[in-house]
Amino acid sequence: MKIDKDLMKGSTTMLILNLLSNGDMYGYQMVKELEKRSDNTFTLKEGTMYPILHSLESEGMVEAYWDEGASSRKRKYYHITGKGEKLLKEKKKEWEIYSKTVNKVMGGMCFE
Amino acid sequence: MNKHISNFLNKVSEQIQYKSVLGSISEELKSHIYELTDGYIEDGMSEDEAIQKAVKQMGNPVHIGKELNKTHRPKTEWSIISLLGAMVLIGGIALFSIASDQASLLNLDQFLKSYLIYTFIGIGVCTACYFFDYTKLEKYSLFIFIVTIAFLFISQKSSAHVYGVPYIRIGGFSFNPVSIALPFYLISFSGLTNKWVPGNIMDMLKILGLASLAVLTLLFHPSFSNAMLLSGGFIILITIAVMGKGFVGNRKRILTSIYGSVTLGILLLLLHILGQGGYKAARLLVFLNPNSDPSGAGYINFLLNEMLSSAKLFGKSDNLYLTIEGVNRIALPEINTDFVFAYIVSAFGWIIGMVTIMVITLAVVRMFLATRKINHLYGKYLACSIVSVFTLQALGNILMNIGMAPILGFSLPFISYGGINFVVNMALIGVLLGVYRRKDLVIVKQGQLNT
Repeated sequence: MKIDKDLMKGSTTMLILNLLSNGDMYGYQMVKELEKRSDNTFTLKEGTMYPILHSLESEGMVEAYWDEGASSRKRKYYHITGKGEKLLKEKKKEWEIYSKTVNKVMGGMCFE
Repeated sequence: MNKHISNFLNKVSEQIQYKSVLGSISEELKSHIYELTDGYIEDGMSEDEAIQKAVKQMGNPVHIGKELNKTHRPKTEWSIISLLGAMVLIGGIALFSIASDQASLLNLDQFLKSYLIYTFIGIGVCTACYFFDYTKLEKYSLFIFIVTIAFLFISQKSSAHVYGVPYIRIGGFSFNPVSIALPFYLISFSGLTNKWVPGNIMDMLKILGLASLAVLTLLFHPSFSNAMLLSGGFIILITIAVMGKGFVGNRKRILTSIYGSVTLGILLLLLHILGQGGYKAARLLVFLNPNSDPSGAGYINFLLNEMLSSAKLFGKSDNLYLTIEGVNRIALPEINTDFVFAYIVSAFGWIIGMVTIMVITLAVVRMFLATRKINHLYGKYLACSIVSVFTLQALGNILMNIGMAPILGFSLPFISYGGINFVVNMALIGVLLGVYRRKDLVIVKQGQLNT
């Protein structure tokens, strides 16, 4: 299923923060992980993800560090900060209210 | 590197104004492309095909570059710059008004000329500091700190003394070496804080030892006001570092013992001065009751009190002038330097005085907010130390002018006519703006980037 682009963009920040709240990750890993978790429904475009990651970093929501990990390839890992956790909580709440209201307006349909 | 990849990275880079971040951005994107390529090769593609598909998967490079540029373009804090300009202007107007007043006994031409020269030099130094990459200094912190201690020690012993205070003369400029030492202490101490404060007790003792030594060099110089400024800055910096999340150890115990020993040190110093009695002791206490000794130690406090108590909301105070030996003159000596605030209030009225205080307060607030956005730790310490010293200086000067603190020689940053002090303050603000400009520098924890 293809999801409407605008709907996706607004929630990308939340999805990125949510992924990072389970542990530090690098960009490629985040794309793969999101695909896996959403059964390929969500494809996080690289071109969307990196600008968001960098602006989250500049706002202090995430921190970055370079690490070589097990392979010899250098990777930039992202780590969620306390400030980021707080933003995630807010975004989740917003999302809950939004989706609940949409469901209600749509006549109590449940897509789950 | 494969030409598809380099082509992609070049297109991204072209969109990014701030070239210092290019290395790390290219490295990150390149590593992503390689991971994608590996995946496609595993799926059975040829290497060339895999790379092409990976690059395509990354998206539109021009679009990515533009978006990244929004985050990484150098940021200039225009609000701080305009407030700074306002302060320099207020200082200029006050100086012009003082020097053009016959009663100041100052030479207008000469003061205007040196105001313009120092403003010009100050702007130049500020701009140079703004563009200078401050991160290059961090590794020399200990060296700079020790050289500064040595410089003060030697200058104290060897330079010409004016009223007991050593002065250095180079060309037509003469200056107090303490003014030059202060920024170097601040810059290098920020590096030492970053290096030693998060660590163990031994490192903590090292940094406290060096800090005390630095404060002592200023006390013996003697420059009580600068010693106070510096220790205030040091304490604030150490507190910020101890409260930071990188700190391991018992925060409460460390801070209590530091604050405890500082308080003890100040008390001992005060006891020593008061115990000696004499002029110094009298000057220190006289502000509590300015009328107690109007012709002796409390002379300045008495005049300040007279001037300000008769200041109007708008316009000149009646007590601005004083006739001494038949000559009508502005009541306070040195009115264009340390007491410029008292002059502004009594010559232009309280409203203009309040506007001045508001401009300074706004500058402090904007500077403080700017420090909170800095991600690079050394830069953050550097900026915090500068904001602290600026704030303490302004606070000390205003309190002294309105008679709520002893006369200790704090000047009002950017407003007092201060020659070399002005240039030093401009340099510090330049560093602060430069730190803000590079606030999003990525912290490379492991390895070096090979670009």
